[in-house]
Amino acid sequence: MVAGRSLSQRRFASALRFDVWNYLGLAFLGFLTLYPFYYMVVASFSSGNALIAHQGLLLLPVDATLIAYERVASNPKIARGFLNSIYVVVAGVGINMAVTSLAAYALSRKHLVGRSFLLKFAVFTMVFDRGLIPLFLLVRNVGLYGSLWAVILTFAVNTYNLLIMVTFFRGVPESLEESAIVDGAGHMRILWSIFLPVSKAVVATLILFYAVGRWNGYFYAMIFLPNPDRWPVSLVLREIIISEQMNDYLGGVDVGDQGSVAETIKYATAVVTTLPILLLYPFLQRYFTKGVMLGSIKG
Amino acid sequence: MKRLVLITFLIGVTIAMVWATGQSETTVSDDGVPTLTYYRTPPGVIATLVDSWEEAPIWQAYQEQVGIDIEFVKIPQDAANHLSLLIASGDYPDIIENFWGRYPGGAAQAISDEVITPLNDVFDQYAPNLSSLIGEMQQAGPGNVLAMQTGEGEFFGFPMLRFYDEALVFVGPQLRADWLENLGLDVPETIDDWTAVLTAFRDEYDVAPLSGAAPVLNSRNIFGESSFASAYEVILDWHRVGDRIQHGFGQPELRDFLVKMNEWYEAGLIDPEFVTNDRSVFENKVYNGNVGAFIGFTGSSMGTYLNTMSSRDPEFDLVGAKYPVLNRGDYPYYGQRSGNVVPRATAISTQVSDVATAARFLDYAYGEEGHMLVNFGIEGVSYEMIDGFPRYTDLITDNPDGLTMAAAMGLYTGISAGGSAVQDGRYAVQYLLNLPQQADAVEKWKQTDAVEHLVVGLAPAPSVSDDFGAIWTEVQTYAEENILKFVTGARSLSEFDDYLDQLEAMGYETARQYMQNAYEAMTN
Amino acid sequence: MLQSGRMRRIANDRVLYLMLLPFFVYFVVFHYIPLFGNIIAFKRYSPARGIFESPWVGFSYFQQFFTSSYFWRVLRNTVVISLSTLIVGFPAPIILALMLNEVRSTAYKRIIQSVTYLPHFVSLVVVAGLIVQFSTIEGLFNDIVVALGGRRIPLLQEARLFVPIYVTSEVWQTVGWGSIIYLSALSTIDPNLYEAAVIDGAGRFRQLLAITLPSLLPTIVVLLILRTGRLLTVGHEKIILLYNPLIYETSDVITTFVYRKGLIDLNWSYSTAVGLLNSVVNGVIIVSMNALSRRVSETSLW
Repeated sequence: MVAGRSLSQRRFASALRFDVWNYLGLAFLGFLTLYPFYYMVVASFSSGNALIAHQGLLLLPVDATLIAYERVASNPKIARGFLNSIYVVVAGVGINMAVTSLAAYALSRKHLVGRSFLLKFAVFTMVFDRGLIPLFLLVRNVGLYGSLWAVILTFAVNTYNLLIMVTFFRGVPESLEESAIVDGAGHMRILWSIFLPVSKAVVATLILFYAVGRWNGYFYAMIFLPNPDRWPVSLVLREIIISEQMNDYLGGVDVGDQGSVAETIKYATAVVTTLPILLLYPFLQRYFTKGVMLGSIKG
Repeated sequence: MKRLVLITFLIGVTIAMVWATGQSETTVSDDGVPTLTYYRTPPGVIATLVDSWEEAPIWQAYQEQVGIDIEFVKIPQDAANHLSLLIASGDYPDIIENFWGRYPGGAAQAISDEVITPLNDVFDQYAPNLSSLIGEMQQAGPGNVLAMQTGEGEFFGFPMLRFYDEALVFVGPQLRADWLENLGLDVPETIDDWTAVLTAFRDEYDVAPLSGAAPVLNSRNIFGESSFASAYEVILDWHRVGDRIQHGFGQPELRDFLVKMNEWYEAGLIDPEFVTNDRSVFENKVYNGNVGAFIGFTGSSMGTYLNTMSSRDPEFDLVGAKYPVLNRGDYPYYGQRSGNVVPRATAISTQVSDVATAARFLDYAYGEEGHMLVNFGIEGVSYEMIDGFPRYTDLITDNPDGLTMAAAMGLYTGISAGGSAVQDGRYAVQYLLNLPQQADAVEKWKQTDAVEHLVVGLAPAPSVSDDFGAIWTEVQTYAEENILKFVTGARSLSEFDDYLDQLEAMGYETARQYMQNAYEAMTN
Repeated sequence: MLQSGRMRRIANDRVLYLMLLPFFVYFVVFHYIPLFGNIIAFKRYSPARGIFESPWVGFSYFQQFFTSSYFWRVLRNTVVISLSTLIVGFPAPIILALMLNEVRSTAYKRIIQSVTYLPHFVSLVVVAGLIVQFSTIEGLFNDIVVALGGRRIPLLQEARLFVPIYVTSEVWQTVGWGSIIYLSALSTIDPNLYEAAVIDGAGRFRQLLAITLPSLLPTIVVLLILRTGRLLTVGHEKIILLYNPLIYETSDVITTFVYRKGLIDLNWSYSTAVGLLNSVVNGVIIVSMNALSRRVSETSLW
């Protein structure tokens, strides 16, 4: 018997050491990533000039005020903006997932003739950007200009997401597909009843990615939607920030007590935009948890 | 369950498709009144107040008085490319306000591309107010009229004009007046004065007193508007000396200026972070007593800082200084001064259905009633004539609904953000110069020979603009980088000649010649 | 014989082609057709003239870019920044995912995970503003420098510090969000494999090497190859907010250079030409990487 600790004891001790460092490291990272967001929230409840004059680490709102949020909420376009955004996300993600899943399934079948070509076909568009002006002209010519569908359809598939799904689908055991074929199932059925349920993790991930992309996107909305009634909330908020900055720049004398609201509005709008995503995330998070859906594969 | 979800989804999508694809932008006013589509960026503040600017009281009154309706094209606030996109799609708004110098190839190109129409005949036939104004300007000297034309002598747009000093001068050197007083110092005039004052500030208050906000060659930074540089007859922009066009980057006199700045830097008189301070960081320094002198605006610098600090520190005071000179008694060589003709103009597109209507609409602003309307709004509502002076009412200056002055101005006047008209000095006085320090500052800042050196709207001819762009990007990169290095000492000033040589190798003289040619084309 | 074999496969897979139809139509209509617009790189484009009426200039804009005095500098900076971000920023989310995977408390794991993705949502302007603020002489970063025995200097005025600052902030902003995909992949690993390994006496580290990493490999490889397809693409937005002429030496990249040029003369053709050049190089890189990957491992994009 070796003097001192046994193998299993040493194993335990090193595992414990590892755990401690792991937890600490993650906590540190957590703090680093949390602080700026916390800063944003705190700053959004502060008043402009007090914020600008503040020195040192910001821990609590300075000259606490709701003015930034008041300015944002009082904007009549906000409510409409939220509706438009929700519409774009729901319709958009629906289409995104439908087109992406169908294509990913097909592209993951090794026996597909032309598979390599089609994959190159998709990746090419990631490398070579489409021109803004031709896209603009195209959207106008097909009559989508001014409609939210311009924004929805111009992003029907994200190649990055597509390839992630292809990779996941390729990893699904062939035995599943074979047993389904033996049962006489066609491709659609296999996709719907077997692949998707088994791939809950990647489906949840892609829904998240597409949803966040849709929610935050404002550039194409800016180009294709002349009517502010159709603007998604991300664009409305951006316009608020810029007009407040313009106001601040030109304005001069009418500064008042709260001073340059422009500074704090930046933060308030960011908080407002992020909130819905923060609410969505927990619902999808459980699908990333280990071993949730594999029970269905057994047998 | 899954089936139900799917079906609901499909139905929802179909319904929604019908809803969203529907209405597009056809608003036709069919009451016999002609309508013009107007491309112009409204003041950002009014976005929260009205759906579209034509609903604001100013435009309601204007449309009624002139008998023509307008419809503003919806433009995002900062879509720099937006006009290009519209033009590319072949759908031109009727009247377009734009900085035509930014159109590739300038206004001349816009005309030859048949986007906008040349207006010489149009002015003669349909714009009596503007025509007579042009006649008067012609009498005063050709410069201004030439600024409104292309190199070939074609008027390209209805211009925005400013004649009062108060409207033309709004940036200049400013110092902590309370610090000067505490130290018993006068407002500095010469470079040596400045050295003494800044040194005293440094010693007494333990700061590097002269500071600014990035980017470096901006108005808000220490070399803004060529302050200090102009004492050495260096102007850090395209300018004219007699009939010669040149740029400060390539002036040999630049050396002496940089030597002095380097001295100041080494002596700790210049904030080492002047290169990296963004606006918030800089203002933080101002509010916390870490800045003794800077270059800034009457409104958003002086006005803002004084107002903010009035409650935090009653001692805080600012005073404007004349643009510095080398020898006592010299008259400042240069300083900020906008040209009478703003490079922004409203052009009439080639797709307008009736040029006469468009011209009549725009010309109205130059006439007596239009002028008052655009500058001051509606008499009895937004202004009152008091002893012959149009004074803004409380509706503007102290709005009962809590609107900021900028917002109220956006609703009742058309001049606070561009506009093709003559900007009245009395507007500027009330809007920009409420505090005595501001009026005093402007008084000092306008005492310069800027008029002798300004060139407005100078752009190389379309045929060489490509080459100019290529050369100038490099020259500018090199110059900015090295000027800063000379100031901070990162590069020794003994290498200044190498700097000039390199500039030459990059094509500075060629670029300068292009601008020279453009100038000569403009003045002939 | 081969022909009819292929034809038969195509016939069998009819449904698959139908499933690919929306994908195909989308790309053709919204990507490939507008791709033609890149032709303005060879023309002197004017929006009023339109794409077809604008005159040809051949390779002159490409030449203009190549012969610029700053060509090598911006190219070098672009590559340095891009590679540095890749080398540090690519493994980081993987490591984070692995660390999170080892956490046994679900609550702790969920909390940390949710917090680490927050930076993804902080807008660029805010992030840049914070960096600038922290980099000032009296700022937070300098406080740390002093604590480590150094001197206070304006950090954003030192050319050699730009890349570290940029890369660190990039990693900070992307590590959490980037780890999501790896966590997803990790969640699909059959727990039975781990149970079997434990029975066989394998320690945690061994499990990592024998089970976890191989399972992650396809995802890692695919994402890595895709990443190299954007190798020459370093965006200008963030750099513009952080740089200044004193540090152009290490911070001026292709896109910022083109941006500054655009402020002088709004030239669509020039920026398209440079973009096209960028894309061609990226294309060559991604094709090579894919071929390499196919030879070395079983995974490749196509």
